[in-house]
Amino acid sequence: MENKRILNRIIFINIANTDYADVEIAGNTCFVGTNNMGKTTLQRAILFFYNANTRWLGISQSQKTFEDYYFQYPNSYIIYEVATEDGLFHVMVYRNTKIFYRFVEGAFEQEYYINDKEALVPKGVLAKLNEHKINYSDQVETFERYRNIIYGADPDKKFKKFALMKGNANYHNIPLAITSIFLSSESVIKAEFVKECIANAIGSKHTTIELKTIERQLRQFTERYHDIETFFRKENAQRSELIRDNFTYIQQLKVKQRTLAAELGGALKNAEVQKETISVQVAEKREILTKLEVEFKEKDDQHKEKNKEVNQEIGALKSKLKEADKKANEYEEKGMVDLLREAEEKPQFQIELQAREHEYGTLTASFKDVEQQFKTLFDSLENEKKEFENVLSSQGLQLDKKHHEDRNALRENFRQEEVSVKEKHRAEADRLKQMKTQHEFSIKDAEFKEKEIRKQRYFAQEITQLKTNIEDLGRRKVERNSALAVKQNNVDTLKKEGDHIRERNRSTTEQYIEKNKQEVTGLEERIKVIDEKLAVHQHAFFGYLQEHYPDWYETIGKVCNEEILFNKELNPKLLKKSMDSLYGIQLDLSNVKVYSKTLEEYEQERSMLRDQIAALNHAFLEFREEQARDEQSKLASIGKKSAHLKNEIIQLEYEATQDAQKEKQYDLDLHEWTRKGEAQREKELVEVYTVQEGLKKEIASLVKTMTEVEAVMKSEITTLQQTFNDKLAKLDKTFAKEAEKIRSQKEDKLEEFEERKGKLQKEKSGVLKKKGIDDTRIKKLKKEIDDIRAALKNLEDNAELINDYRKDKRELFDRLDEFKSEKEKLEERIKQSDKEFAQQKDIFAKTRKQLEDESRGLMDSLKKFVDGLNHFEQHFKGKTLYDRLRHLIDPAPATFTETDIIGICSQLQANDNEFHNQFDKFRGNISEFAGRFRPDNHLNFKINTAVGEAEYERFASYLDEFYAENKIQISIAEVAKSHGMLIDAISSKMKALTEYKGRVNKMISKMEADFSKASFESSKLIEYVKLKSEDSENKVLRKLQRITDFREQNPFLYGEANLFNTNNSAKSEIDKRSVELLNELQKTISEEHYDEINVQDLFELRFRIKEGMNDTGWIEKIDKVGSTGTDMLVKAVIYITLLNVFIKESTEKTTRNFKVHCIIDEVGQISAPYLKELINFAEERNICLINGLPNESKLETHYNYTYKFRKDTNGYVKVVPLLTMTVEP
Amino acid sequence: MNNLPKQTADIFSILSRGNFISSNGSKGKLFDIITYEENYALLREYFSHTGYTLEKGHNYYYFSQPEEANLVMEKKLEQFAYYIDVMDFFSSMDLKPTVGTRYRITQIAEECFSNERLKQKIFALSRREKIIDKVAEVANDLTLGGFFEQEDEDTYKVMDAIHYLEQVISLITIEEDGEQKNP
Repeated sequence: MENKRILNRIIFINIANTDYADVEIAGNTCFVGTNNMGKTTLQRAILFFYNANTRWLGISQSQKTFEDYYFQYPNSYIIYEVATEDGLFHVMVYRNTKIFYRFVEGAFEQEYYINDKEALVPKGVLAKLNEHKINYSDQVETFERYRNIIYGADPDKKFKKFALMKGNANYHNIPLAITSIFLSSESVIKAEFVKECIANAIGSKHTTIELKTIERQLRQFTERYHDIETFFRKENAQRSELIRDNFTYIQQLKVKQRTLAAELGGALKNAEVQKETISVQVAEKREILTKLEVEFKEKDDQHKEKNKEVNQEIGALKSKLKEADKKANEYEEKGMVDLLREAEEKPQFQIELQAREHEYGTLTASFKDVEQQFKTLFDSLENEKKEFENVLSSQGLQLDKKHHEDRNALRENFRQEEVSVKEKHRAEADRLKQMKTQHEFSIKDAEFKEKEIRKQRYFAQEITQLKTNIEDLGRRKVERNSALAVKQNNVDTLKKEGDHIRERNRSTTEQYIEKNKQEVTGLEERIKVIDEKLAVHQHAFFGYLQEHYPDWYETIGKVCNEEILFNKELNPKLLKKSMDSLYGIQLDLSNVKVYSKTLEEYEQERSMLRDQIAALNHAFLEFREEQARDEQSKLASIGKKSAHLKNEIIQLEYEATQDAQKEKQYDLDLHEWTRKGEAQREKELVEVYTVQEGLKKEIASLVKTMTEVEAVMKSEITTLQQTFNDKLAKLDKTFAKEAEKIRSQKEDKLEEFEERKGKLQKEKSGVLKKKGIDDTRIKKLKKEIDDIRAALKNLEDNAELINDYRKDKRELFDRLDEFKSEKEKLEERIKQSDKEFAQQKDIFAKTRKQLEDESRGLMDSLKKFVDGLNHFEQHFKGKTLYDRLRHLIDPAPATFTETDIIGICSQLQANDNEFHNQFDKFRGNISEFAGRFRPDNHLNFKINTAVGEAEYERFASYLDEFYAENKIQISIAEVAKSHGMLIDAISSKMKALTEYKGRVNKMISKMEADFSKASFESSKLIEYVKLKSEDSENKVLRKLQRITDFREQNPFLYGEANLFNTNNSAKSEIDKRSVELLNELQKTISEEHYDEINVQDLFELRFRIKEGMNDTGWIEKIDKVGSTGTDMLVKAVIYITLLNVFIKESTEKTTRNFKVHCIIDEVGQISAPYLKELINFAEERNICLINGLPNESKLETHYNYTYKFRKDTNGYVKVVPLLTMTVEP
Repeated sequence: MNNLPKQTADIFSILSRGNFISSNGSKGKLFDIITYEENYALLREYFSHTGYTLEKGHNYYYFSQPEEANLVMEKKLEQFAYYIDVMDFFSSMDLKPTVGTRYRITQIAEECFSNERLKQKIFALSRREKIIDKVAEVANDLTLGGFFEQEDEDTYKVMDAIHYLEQVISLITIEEDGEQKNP
């Protein structure tokens, strides 16, 4: 056994289909066996020793898992015995729900594990070990820990002795390479694999850039940025204003709707009350009117009746007058005047007849005694004279009596007529006086009414209501103005407060930025220094020591400062390595601190410094976000208050506008009502004046009429007096005439008597003288007698007519004046009655008109209310609008409203229509506004359309609140932070990643150097294997690099708190560019489908292999090189070279005192000489090959160990060693 | 033509397929680009050589062709008759198809179930078996026409281009004898 650490043996106890197998593998080993005999099972178990990863063993998913296949029993063990310089130890692998390891000091002894041919359970094994005082480790529970122990990377010192090699933290390439060789011996060798190995070799696990995370962050950032960008779009800003205006208007419409609804409710109740009241009033008025009409009709009837009687009387009088006139004409035609005169003279005719007859008798009786005769004649004459005188006296007496009687009758008649006239006129005067008094009373009434009218306050209720309203408005205006001033002041104060907060934050930010900048600059200076050192280290003393003087840290590192270490001009030369002295002086440096640092420490320090910068940047971003958040929260509170106040101010201003309109309306209404009142007053005054004037005129007319009546009366009385006087005079004259006639008659008669007496005397004297007889005289007498008798007869014949006449005269002709007067009186009475009735009619008409007017007015009011109620019932109550507002309409108390119900209903309907129109616009605007944002935008501009109208109002409220609280600032700050953090993260990760570029190149150089040796010297099968690196073609990496460059170019200008500030065009450009870069990166990530960016993405690798005459040229993957055997061989060479490089890289600072295995299955196709060369090739690199062969051939002779696999009678696989000799090369 | 925006090819490829570029869709950026400064005039001039005229609507752009074969015209008219019915269907819904409105297929289908008139209309529009499929078909047709945009499996958004449909529909006059006449 060589003095090297190596996996010496592998022991299977109850593993898979093997009950026990002990296989020594401390050299090149060959397993021979037909298929399904367990070769691969054993090879996998060996691989498991190196990679301790159950998923990297080439077990397909359809097969049983490693645990289930290998560890079927609680006493299944795989034992790995490792040889070291100091002896052996072994690793016990067992399963207790999962796989565990224990490191056991000392070689594997079967008796520790198997007792009576029965494997012990782990507890038993431990007991055995304890029994034999064998040390063993604690249970190692993780593969990682196991690998760390095996590859010497575990920090626990007690496990140091169980290490196969003293590797560093980058040992992972060794198991990876061993695994890859086992797994991909038949597949292509891709540059990717090598690149991965390089990455692993330089320990860059933590520098991986997780693109998924970045892509997620980028997506979040882009979406948020897009949301904010959308928010700031001009049309959206305008639309949001529109929405807010719409919302305010809608709210106002709602308020108005509520007011109108309450008004409607009040008006409806009021209408109900008014309907009742006015109906009663109308009924009363109608009753009064009906009563009045009935009364008037009665009066009319009475008046007509009265007039009818009088008219009848007048008719009678008229017929009498007509008859009298007719009869008078008839009598005149019949010569009634002569007849009457003759009738008057009848007694005289009779006396005359008697006298003439007597005379005739006497004359004819003979002439007896003339004396006697004459005496008788004289006596007779005397008697005649006496008789005549008696007749005359009687006539005189009669005449006198008649005269007296006539005079008395006339006087009496006059008195009567005078009384009648007076009576007649007194009634009229009394009536007129009464009317005058009545009119005077009416005038007084009118004057009182005028005073009343002058005092009257028309439309007092309305005017009072309006004045109250105006006063209320005035009071509210004052209150509102003061509230407005207070609120405005508050808004100003809040604004100042906001400005102050902003200003304070701005100065704090500036201070912070300045401080941060200084710190970052300091740290960057330090990084620069480190970078400079690292840049020159290879050419400086430091590089020389690294290359030629292992463990120099413990000696030179303690006495050299960095200036010397990084000096390039020292030209160091190694004279004598083992001499630990300083210019010949030995120093005890055990207690001296190592002054210099390793490359890793420098890198670590640089990373630390970068971390600090990142932390500072992060802290700055945090600070800024925190500050923005804090500022926004303070400003939001202020904004909220301010918005609240502004809303209140808007509300107050709206109220003010409304109130101003109302006030204007009220003023107009007041003016209108006052004007109406004055007009009413004027009208009523005019009416009163008219009445007064009328009354005055009537009084004047009455006075005039009275005067006239009096004058008429006086005139009539005068006329009567005159008539009386005339009649009296006439009577007196007639009487005088009659008396004169009688006197004249008497005188004539007396003269006649005297004459006759004289004649008689003469006759007597003649008779006496002559005594003779005279015939002429007798004849004359006879003729006179006949004439008289004819006259008397005529009188007798016409006696009836005369009687009739006399009767008619008495009854008609003498009463004509009476009739006429009576007729006139009656006519006058009718006239008067008509006049009186006309007045009553007039009063009735006026009263009726007044009542009708009042009634009409009431009816109009009633109609208005009824129409309103009907309109409400028929055209409003059935509508959905009512259902929506009934909670406001129904409970409203009765109130008087300026507008009627129909008007309010119309206003409500118009308001509702306007509301719906506005709401449609409002909804449209919101849909359009929200539609411009992503459905799940972070600003929360979303609408749940299923909720309905309320959702749109909620949205508008939210939008209002959003603006009021300036919530966009939080989003801007968040986006700015994520923007800054993203760029910082990308930049710092890229820096960290690109720092490995140097090491990658170094690694590739080493590999190139190793590959240059990878040729089979003897056969020249492989002429050369070349490797080179090129710049990365990874698009994502390029984008990342551009972002990093951008970050470098704009260390303090990028990603300000506001990415959307357009005031500073330079900064705006930078922001725009940075956002563009991030967008491009996101796009590239999504297009390229990379999950992460690693060190291997920093570069591209190209192979070039020349095998025989075949030159592959520069290729990315090695797919097929020559025949199968050649191909396998070439690949094995490459893998072994890689493994060797990785081993060297992983164990850089330690001596190579160990060997590892390289497992290549199915090598049967490689020819024996090449296999031999391959074994040697591996051997040169301290690598033992473990190969599988299906059949025994001569190939197995080249191996140190050859085992054959076969099954025993129990079906257990047995591994039987064929040869155990080392074949000399 | 050096000043042409770099997205000109994208713009052409969308518009030449008879699609619209709406301001509120996922192609909003292209809309902004066309609208930006002199781009519209430049592109209009540029595209005019291809036989298309770049037309501008209210927040959308599209191509028009001055001369088209009668057959194509007829086809377009038929298509438009269908769009009219589709618009009628959406206009009969509670949620009217205003720009930016988001419709969910399931929500529309539910409304169709509860509204007999809508149900009849959707039955007249699509021959699919299930109502939800019918609605999806109609919504997809509008999406193909560029009037809707699908945001996720269930959600469609109304594009600015819907104004185009509305405008054309508003231009249709109905003669007294009941015959429809396109201007």
